[in-house]
Amino acid sequence: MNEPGMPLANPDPIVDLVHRIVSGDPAAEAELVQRFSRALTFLTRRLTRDETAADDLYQETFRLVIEKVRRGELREPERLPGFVSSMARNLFISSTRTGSRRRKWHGDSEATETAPDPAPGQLSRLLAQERAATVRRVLAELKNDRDREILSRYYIADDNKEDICRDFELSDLHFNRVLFRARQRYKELFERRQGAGQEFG
Amino acid sequence: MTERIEMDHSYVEEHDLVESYLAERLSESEREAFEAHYFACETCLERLETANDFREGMRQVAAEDLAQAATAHVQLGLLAGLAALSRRHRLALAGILLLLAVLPLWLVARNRDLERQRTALEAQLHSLEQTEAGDRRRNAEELAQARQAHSSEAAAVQPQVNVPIFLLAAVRGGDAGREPVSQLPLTPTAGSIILTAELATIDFAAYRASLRADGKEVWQAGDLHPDSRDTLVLLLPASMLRPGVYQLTIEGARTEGSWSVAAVYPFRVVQPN
Repeated sequence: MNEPGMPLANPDPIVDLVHRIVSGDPAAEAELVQRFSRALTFLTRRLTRDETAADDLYQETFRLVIEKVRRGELREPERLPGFVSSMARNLFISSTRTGSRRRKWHGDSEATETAPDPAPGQLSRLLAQERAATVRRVLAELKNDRDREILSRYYIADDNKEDICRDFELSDLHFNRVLFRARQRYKELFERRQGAGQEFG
Repeated sequence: MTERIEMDHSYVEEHDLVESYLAERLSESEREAFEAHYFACETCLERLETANDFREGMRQVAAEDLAQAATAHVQLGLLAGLAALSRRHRLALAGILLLLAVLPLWLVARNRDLERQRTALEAQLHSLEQTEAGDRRRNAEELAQARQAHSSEAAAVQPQVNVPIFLLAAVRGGDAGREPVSQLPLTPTAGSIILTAELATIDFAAYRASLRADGKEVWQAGDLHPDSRDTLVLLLPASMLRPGVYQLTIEGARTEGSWSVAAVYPFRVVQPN
């Protein structure tokens, strides 16, 4: 129930969040960060492929998004998720154009070919080892070599789905099922390993 | 300007956007729409994270396998390189490897030789030490004897008191072989002894004396002259006379140069009880 004199809460929580930020509600800004934190972390790491650069891009994106939302520059509040993701991508792209100051944000294929690959942190290396061990187990559990080859061609050789389906005489549905099962099993095993690690940690 | 796409779960699954997004196979408009979608959809974000992790894991496994294969390739390359060597180079390499294999054995054998030499030298050193010890012992004994002799000589030039004096009795030729009449008791501490032999006649210009024990001459002296009482007085070290039978023979010098027995004095040295 709204207070008398206050505008009615929008049934779309995203639109409501934007309205609250525009009206100067600091809690709404915190809620914005909390709501998009995980997705923005994923995107910035994917763009930069570097933890430190991703953190910088993450901070800068939120700073600019909140500034613009406060000033009412987001004319379609329901598009806030796309506004945040676009802001991150545009900042990243502009950094590639403005030169060396933000060169560390470069994580796309063009930049990664020329920029030195930053050494991964200890936690990242540990996670990579965990991922590899889990994937090995998934591959070992597969019932046939064909599925292993499908996964290898798709994930490692970057072959087209259509080419793989044609070579193995698979339907689109069958191909998706192989990938889905492998990912699901990976998720189960990885979460189990993480759980065991936390228990003993 | 990109075309705006409205996206929901069914669209994402139908077009397999998660994998296509990760493989960067989406158009710009599809990518923007999908990013906007997963920023608002926790389910798709989770699928995306899982698929991305699995993709990264697959690539990590491939990288590890590639590294292992590269190591194996290097080993195979060494073998292949060996096979590609000429016969002469292979023989040279085999010789080097053989040398490397034999070298430790040679070092062991060499070590054993050195050990044997060391043992022999130690034995030689030990023997020399023993010899040196024997020499030292002998030298000590000789030194002791020399000191004793020196002390005896020193004792001889020193004044002595109660020096034993024995008067020897001469025997005729027929008494030879009988138990001597003269018995000389000599204590082991006695330093010197004085023997007096009175001559029956003084027919010779000079005399000589000879002391024998068991047929062996233990002392002799020449150019002796009796004193005013026609007696020869002899001072002998007591150590010369161990217990036993002795015979002192006094001979006189004839004018033609031959010697004639003037008197014989047998006596027995005994150790007093």
